[in-house]
Amino acid sequence: MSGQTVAHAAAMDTLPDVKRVLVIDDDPTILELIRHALGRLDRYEVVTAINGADGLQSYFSALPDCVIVDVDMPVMDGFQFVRAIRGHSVSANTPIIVLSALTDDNHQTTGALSGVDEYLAKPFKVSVLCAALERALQIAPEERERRIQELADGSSGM
Amino acid sequence: MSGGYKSWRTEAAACDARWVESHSPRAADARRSVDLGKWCEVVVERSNSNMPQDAVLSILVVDGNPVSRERVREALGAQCVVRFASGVREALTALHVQRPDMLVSEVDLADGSGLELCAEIRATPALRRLPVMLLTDRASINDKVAGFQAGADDYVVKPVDARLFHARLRLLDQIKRLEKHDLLGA
Repeated sequence: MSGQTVAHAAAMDTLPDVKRVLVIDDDPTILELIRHALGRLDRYEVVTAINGADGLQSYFSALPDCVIVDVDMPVMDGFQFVRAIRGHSVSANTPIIVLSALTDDNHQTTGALSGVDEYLAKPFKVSVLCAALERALQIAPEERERRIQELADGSSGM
Repeated sequence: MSGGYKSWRTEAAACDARWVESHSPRAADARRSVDLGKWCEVVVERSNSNMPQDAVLSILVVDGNPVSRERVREALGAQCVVRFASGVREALTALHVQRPDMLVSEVDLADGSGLELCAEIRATPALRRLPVMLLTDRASINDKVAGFQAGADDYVVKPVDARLFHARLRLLDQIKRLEKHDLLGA
């Protein structure tokens, strides 16, 4: 390995591992709050969208490492967004966190069945959101597929 | 762990189990183990030897392409009862003769669009809660948005892994049962 290559590799090692996070919420206050909170940490780059359809556009232009999505939104809701992402092999393994005020059992279960990795309640703590982000980013594609299969098996009594 | 999968899954599994106990629309549901709980060691079982071993979904697949139809047949095999229709009109006739548990449709059909079929189903009182999955070659963002706006519950782009396809059908079945449960106000 040449000296130049070694120096380049060393420089790459010191760069922070910045993750691009797409945040989808129809409340601009929430978008700004998360942009500000995550932006301060120097670990995340935040991209925003105002509903599921806008979120799909942003997803395929920004290609984020992780998505945080609200549920109750016009045009295309959060669960529809999640199913659209999970239903296409090019996007199916994206870490997805739901952040919603709808926290009853049925919404949370529907989220899981739709393919959500983490379901967080509003109002939220930034530390809890960051912990969920890190957990979701650690899920390997095989683990996500295993979860999907286990959830699906629940309907067949296996 | 606030908001963690494990904690809410425990509650969700218990809730789902209660619902299964009280709302089983099919006999096999009464003995299903709620695998939401596999991760959190909550397993709900009711043993009854008179009940079937598996809940078999009946699915109407609407696709005019014989190769696609064969792939679906292979993917679902003996796990589902599959009927086929090649277009919108044939599908609507089949739906009125015998309502399946679920409809899977391509978007591009010889006599119309899977989106039209979807909209027609949503406008028909007897069919409007039928679970509908679009399984299609169309992969654009606009196509996906249009699919959900037409009333589809799920949108899967071909090609899809056979195991994953079957899993998504079963997940959609569960989601629609939860919605029905909500609407009944139970």
